[in-house]
Amino acid sequence: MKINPLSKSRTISVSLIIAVTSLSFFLNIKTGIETATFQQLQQNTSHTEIRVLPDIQNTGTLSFLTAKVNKFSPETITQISQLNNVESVYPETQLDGFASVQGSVFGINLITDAMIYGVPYEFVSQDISTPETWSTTEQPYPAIIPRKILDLYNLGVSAPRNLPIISEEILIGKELTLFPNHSTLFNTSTDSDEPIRLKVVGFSDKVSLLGITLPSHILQKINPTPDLPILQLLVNVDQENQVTAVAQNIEDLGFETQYLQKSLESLESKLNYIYWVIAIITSVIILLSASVITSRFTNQALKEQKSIAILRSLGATKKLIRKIILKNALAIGTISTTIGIIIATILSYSLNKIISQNLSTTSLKVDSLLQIDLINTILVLLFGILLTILSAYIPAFKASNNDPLQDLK
Amino acid sequence: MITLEKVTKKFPKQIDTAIKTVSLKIPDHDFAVLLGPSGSGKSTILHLLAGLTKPTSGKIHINNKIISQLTDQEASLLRNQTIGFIFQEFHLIPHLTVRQNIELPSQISHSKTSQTHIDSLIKEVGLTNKQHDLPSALSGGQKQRVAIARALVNNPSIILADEPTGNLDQATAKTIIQLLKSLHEKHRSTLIIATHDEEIAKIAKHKIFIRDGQITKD
Ligand SMILES: Nc1ncnc2c1ncn2[C@@H]1O[C@H](COP(=O)(O)OP(=O)(O)O)[C@@H](O)[C@H]1O
Ligand SMILES: [Mg+2]
Repeated sequence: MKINPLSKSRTISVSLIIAVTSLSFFLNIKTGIETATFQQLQQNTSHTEIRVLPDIQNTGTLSFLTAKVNKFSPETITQISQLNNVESVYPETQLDGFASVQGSVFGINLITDAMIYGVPYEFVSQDISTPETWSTTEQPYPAIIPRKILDLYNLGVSAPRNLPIISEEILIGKELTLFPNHSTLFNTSTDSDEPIRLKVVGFSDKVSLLGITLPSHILQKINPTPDLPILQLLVNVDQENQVTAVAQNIEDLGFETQYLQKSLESLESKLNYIYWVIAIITSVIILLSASVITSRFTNQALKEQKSIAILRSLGATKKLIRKIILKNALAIGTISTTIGIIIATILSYSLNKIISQNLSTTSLKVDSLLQIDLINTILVLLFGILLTILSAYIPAFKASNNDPLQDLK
Repeated sequence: MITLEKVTKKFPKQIDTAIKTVSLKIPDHDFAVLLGPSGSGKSTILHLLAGLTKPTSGKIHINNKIISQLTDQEASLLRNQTIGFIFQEFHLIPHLTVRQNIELPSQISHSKTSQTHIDSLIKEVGLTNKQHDLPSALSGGQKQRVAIARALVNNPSIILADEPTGNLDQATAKTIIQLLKSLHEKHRSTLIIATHDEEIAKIAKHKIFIRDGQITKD
């Protein structure tokens, strides 16, 4: 039939649009968060690496500082190196005593107290694109800045005070001056402590947060004691599938471990919690819409009972009546679902814009927290159409079996 | 040829029987009036003929088909192709235009009805300049004209009209009956009009009198 003898219900369309928009939105968020977190973490983190830290839980709050220092000994390194499937162990050491660092950005001279750490090249190999700079023995020495410090500075200091944002691009290649045994609070430097020139060569998430990291051999040069305190170890494992087992062995020795698989697991459980909350809200919206749609279709069938009876008296079979009602539902379903998907897409795009603008000052590379996915879109489309047809099915069946004479009275 | 053979009809919750052993023959191209007071069973007989309800006993033949034994599909086809039904209350679909209402029976059967056929039907009932209006914009007489054109669209051999003038004033009623008669003469379809109005009954030669579900005079 070319003519649609049934009137269209706006309520059905609106409820369906709401249901589809929220479902589509939920799926966009889910895929977006997954790509933003999991994929980034997986891409930026080595799959065969374990970071070993002192077990802070066992030391208590008060003894925190003292317990941490020298918790690792050269024997620990040997012990861990001898574990099965361990390929290599790299320590992060710390320079004893005070130090301050001076640099100038945007023409402003900054000086701050800082810890100085040392790592072998392998510790940060993923964060430095030019390994040759690492092996220099001439000043300026290469220096690595913890990435999170930059985020903290940009979000906590420059944003609220309207100061210019300091990006990695601005800092890379910058020269800094290191004053060993010097503090901005109390000057303890002696004449022997010559200022040292540094040059920023990279940024890392692995290095300790409270200072600047230099190559181990430079640290040895600045302070030629044989045993600098060790802060953390980076353990490389032969194969990805051995990481969990090796980490367990290290934990058995009384240390804390951090590695990709573990982070993913804890991330997943945290994300699952968020998903459940959003999924429940979405389900409630969908259930409400579905019940509105079903009752509307029943109402519509009642309202259209007379039209249906007229069609029957003009020779429409029961089958044709069902077909007309379901076709009408299909049209409403397709149009409303498409509108819902379009709304969700526009909403996702706009939100992405806002989010990525707000995160542009940080190292979080999130271009799209809400991701529009083709398979999801097709699934949502099918869902919307199926929902309408299923909601219309029982009313259609009932309407086709009514006695037309009764309805024409 | 329409034949009723000892047809009875009793409604489930009814004490009395609505139709009591009615036997009747209406030849092709006949113009018959079913005349009787309200509640005598005229509508029930027309509904039985249209296959909209089934007899309790007896047989109804239309063009050599026993219509009391038809499936939903067959009865629907009969209503669509063989019978044109005109109601007292017009029964137009409110949100379709005059033209769309008239087209409905041909849309239902997917018949290849030409637009010129629709045009000429609309012209025959005198609604050419109203064809794109909704039923709500029409007078009672005009609505009944739409219903008449709709009943004729699939060229049925039988037209059943149940009190077609019941909702119209005297003057309009007369023109509607005249229209029905002239269309019957032109298209040579069998025309059966149910009415309680003896004035209207005068127009037909074949009068069937009915009272309390029984034919009193044929
Ligand atoms: N659906 C029904 N259920 C019960 N009784 C009915 C029904 N339809 C008609 N009747 C009864 O059948 C009898 C004949 O009705 P009807 O055919 O409508 O008469 P008419 O059209 O001549 O006024 C009446 O007594 C009426 O009350
Ligand atoms: Mg009647």
